[in-house]
Amino acid sequence: MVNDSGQLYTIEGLAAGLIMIATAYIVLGSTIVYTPGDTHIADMQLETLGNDALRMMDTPQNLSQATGKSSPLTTILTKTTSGSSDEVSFDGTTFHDKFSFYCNATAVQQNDDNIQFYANVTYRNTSGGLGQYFINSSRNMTGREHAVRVTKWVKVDEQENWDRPQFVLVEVLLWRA
Amino acid sequence: MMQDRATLSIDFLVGFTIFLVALIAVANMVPGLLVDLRTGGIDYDAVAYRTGVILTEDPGYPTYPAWEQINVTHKDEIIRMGLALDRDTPGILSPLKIERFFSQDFSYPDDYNAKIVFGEHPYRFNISLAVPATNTSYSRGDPLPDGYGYIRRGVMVKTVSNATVDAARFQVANAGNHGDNSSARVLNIRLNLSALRNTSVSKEYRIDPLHERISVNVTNISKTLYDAYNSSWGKDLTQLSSARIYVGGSYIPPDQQVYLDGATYPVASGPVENDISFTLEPDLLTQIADTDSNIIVALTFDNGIPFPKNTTVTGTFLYDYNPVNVTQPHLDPGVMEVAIW
Repeated sequence: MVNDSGQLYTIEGLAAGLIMIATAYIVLGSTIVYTPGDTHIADMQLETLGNDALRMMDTPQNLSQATGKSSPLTTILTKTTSGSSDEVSFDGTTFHDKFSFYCNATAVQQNDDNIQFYANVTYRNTSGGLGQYFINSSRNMTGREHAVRVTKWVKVDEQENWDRPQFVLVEVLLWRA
Repeated sequence: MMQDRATLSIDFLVGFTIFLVALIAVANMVPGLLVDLRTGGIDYDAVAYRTGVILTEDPGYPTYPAWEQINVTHKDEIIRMGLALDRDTPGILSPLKIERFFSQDFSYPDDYNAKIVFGEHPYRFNISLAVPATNTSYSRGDPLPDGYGYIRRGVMVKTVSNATVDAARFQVANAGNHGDNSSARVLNIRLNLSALRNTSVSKEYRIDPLHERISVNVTNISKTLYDAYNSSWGKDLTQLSSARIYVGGSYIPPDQQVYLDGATYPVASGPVENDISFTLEPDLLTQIADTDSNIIVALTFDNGIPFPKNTTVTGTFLYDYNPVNVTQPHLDPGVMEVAIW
């Protein structure tokens, strides 16, 4: 007999409770198999390699470089201004040689890899705005590449002919040709 | 008897409970069933990635003593064989760890599966490292099959210091002179550990004799003798009578073993025509020296001619951070590949 004292009388209530407990038990007891980047393996491999290459280039290679707070990458990012114009260039050839080598060299594979890149650097100018310079690329981009992006903040200062000490963002797009 | 109070019968409650318990048990097995339905490629790539991270970014375990200094008879004490120089220097590899990792001290695949690959599956793999600057490469494992999980990592490999001592710098001016009745002379190679292990120098550029091999090559010994020697007395080979190690001024036997004139076996003494080379192994130094010891390798020259005792070189060579004296540690780029199947 139904009354207003709130007891559990109906089979529906009991069944719903058991179903809720069963659901919670199944969800909590399920094993989640999670593998890093399991849907983008190739992208993950490219990103890992690109980050490694940038880190290698920004690592001082001996005590003398470490004491002088320089690295192959900061040396490459030393600005060269041509004439009276504001055209700025970097040692793009060295960047190309080192970056391509670090990304494409292999140890056990028969042939070197064929990874292409496009690199630029973003900085803050004297008026506080953002500017961007092109560093180098291994080939022209068509826009149809399936590229991944790797970045590294690099400290530069007057030693590299920058107007003021700052961290600039080196940005590289990588893709397999 | 039917009635309208909706109470449950005991039979129904028991039956329904059994049904639910069975349902829960079956549902709980479903994820386990799906584990085996994962594609092999994804699994192997993930294992290769993990192995690559451990190899390049982890210094391994234990660290005191470092795993690479654990004797092969106690290799079971090694938990993880990471190659990074230190936990603060991911991506920079230790040469001593590389040498040990790729040595025959560990059996393929069992030791590597237990200490670097991990996992219950009996993986096969190939781990390779190439350092183009020094034209060296290492490999462990099987040849690559058609399909495998793969990762490639760019690394920097520390190249340890070494010194070439030009004996002409320490030439005795009057060696071979009839009037020179001096006793045997000594060339000291001195390592001041407290100065070398200066913590203001980052580990990747530090000279650390307690963790890295020290190599010394003394050259031009014959030339020194020839230039200084009076030809009328003929020419005998310079005699190295001993190569002793002193720690804090105390002689620590046995004598250091050295290679004379590029010989393939080390000796404690003997005639030498051109050069003497030796290495100080970290295994030895950790046993006999403290972190701030002053270590001297004393090369004693005694030509053994009755009169006079012609000697060749004398002085103290300081093994330090001066690039004029010592080829300093530096980093060379390398590439590591891990393939797992």
